[in-house]
Amino acid sequence: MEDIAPPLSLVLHIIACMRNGESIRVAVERFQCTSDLDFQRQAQELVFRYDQGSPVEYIFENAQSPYRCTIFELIQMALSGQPTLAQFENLKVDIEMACDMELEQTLRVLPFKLMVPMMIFMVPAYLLALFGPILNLFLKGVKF
Amino acid sequence: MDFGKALLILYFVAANLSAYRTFINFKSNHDQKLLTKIGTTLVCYSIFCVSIGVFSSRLFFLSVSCLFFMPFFIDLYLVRRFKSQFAEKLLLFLDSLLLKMRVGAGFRSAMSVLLHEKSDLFSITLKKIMDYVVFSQQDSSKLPHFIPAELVTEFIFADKAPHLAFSRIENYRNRLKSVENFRRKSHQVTINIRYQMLVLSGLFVFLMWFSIQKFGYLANSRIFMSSALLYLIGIGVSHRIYKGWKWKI
Repeated sequence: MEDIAPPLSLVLHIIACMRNGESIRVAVERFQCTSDLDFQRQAQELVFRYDQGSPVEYIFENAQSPYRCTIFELIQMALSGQPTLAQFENLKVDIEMACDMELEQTLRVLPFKLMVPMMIFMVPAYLLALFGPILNLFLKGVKF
Repeated sequence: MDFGKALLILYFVAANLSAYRTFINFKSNHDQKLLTKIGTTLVCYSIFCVSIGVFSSRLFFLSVSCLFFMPFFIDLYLVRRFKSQFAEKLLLFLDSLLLKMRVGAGFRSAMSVLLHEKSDLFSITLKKIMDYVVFSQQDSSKLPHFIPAELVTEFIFADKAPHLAFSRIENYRNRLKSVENFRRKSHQVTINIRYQMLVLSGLFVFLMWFSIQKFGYLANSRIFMSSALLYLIGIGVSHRIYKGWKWKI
């Protein structure tokens, strides 16, 4: 959760590499994303398959979100020699907005999700620690 | 004075000496301001131990035993904190570096001016990186493992191509800024929940202690054990919920 979103990480990496004068191929090959290895593998596979002349459409189809699909399409455009730096920069703004929205949504939903373990486990644990011994004493008293 | 008390005093002196020796070893790892704070904490803790010793020799023994390990835990905590703050400090440093370079200084001279006569852990780490960059035949495994490989690559490039150094470091700084900005935002989501869990756990420990004091542990051991188990499961599930979250975009 505390990591940056993988698509944003890739876009930032590509923009930085392009500004440094490096090719898209080098940028994607050097990209590392420990929090989402599948995404890293997909991006690198796209470059590999493009170089081999193999079909790459299934990578677009398997993309987890439209943003990831757009990144792959832009990478393909960059590999074919088209200028894409401006598009990547525009996409970065869009992805940042999407990340902000997702964070807001998570902040809204998380307290309710956390209510479940609290009501099922933690509240009974409190009640047990507080009233368990009293109940125990009471039951012993009733026996005699 | 009986033999037991003399032994306890000897133990106290040995623990203090051990803490002092470990503390001296910290000198290379932490800056002077922090060392003063650590020293004050250790002295205050020793006074606390003595004040406890007036009432109970058993508690005195336990608290003095902590003195043996305390410096290690303080060191571990400080190094961990440094690692987590490294990116933030690096951003500020890169800003200053770029400002120096904007005025006309070269990469190496700007670095040496900024790191001159500084002895805090961050500056020491950067000096190690610069040593590696300048004498690139050095072994890279000597660099601390938390240093991003990209930073070293950028510094090596900036050192080898001075005409591109500014734009290269500026690009790296901009990217780092965006990443840190987002990391901070997503950290906000979990920090409230962590504090909430901490307060709830404190409350639970207090409640358990109160119940054990009031009703006795042995008579209600099963109840207390089940309660603790339930609570731990609750904490585990909550931890899984907020840690297991993944980006959907």
